[in-house]
Amino acid sequence: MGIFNTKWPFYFSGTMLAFIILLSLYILNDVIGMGDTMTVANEFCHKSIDSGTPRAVPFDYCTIFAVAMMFGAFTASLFSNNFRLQIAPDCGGSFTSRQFKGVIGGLLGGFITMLGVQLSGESIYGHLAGAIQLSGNSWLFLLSMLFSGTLLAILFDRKGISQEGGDSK
Amino acid sequence: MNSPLYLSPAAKMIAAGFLGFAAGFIMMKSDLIWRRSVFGIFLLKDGRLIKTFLLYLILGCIGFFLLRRMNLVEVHIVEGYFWSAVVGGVLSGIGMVFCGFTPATALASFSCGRLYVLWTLIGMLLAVPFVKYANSFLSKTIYSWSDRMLSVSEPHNFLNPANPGLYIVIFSAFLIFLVHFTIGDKE
Repeated sequence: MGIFNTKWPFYFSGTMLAFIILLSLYILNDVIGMGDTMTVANEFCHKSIDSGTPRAVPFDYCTIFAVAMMFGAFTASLFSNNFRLQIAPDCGGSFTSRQFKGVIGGLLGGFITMLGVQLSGESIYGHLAGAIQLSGNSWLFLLSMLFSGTLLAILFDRKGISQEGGDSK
Repeated sequence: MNSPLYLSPAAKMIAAGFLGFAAGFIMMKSDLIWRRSVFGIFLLKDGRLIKTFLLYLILGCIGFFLLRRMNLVEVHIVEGYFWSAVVGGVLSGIGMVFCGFTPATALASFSCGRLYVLWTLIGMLLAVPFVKYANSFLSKTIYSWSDRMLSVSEPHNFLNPANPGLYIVIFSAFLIFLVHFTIGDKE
């Protein structure tokens, strides 16, 4: 049971991550990214709002992968006693201030992240799969992301803007 | 003859269910889904996660090369444009510093009870139509600044000096040692 309720060391996490992505390529003959799932979810919301009634959820294998992934993470959190309902991130300050950071940071950050993903044509999970296939597009994306993210995170850190935290592991 | 599994649509859905479950489980157990993890990587504080990604690159590159040689997998990459990849990467990096999630980790974290991630998911959903509406503008700008990037040729021998994968493996292995003896595993 140790494997289910303890923190995984890097050599096990890295191996499992490589294994699951290679297995997806073999079994599904495709790389599943969350970008497609978000597009499907967006179209579903758009059509439901237009028609005024909820429509049937479009089930393709990308959607099923995303839903199953949520169940997988939920199950793992139960095994590790890490499931906790939290409505504001733990990033310092009063509840209102944390809530505000959660809403503004979430909306703005989510929008910009997905904008980048849509521009590059593949999700970050997909780019990780692309990197091992030596895709120039994926390497450029990942290196640019690492560069801009590191630079901004260091600047925020130096300014003392507490963006760190958000949840205790 | 060796080939990827060409499953029927129904079988593909069942397989996607199992693979998605395993991916979510692995991501959560590897601590990849937390907001704190993103900052641990960007601020070079969490050696364990950095080493996880570096090891993934090593094993992934070697594994993909071997499976490709056995014809068990096919190449599935998006042949994007230079500037769209760079601008997309820069924007995603900035966005991740603000929200702390990728689309996959946001879904996984939300399912672990972090309800505030809902705002991130809403932000992500709003970006999809925005790009759709801005498509004609993007076609005239970012997508037209450079030609479509072609995929690299596949070498027959992994140890061939012309194989970029060889350098990725060597450099990643070097970085793992460097991170291990400098940052270490603890935050």
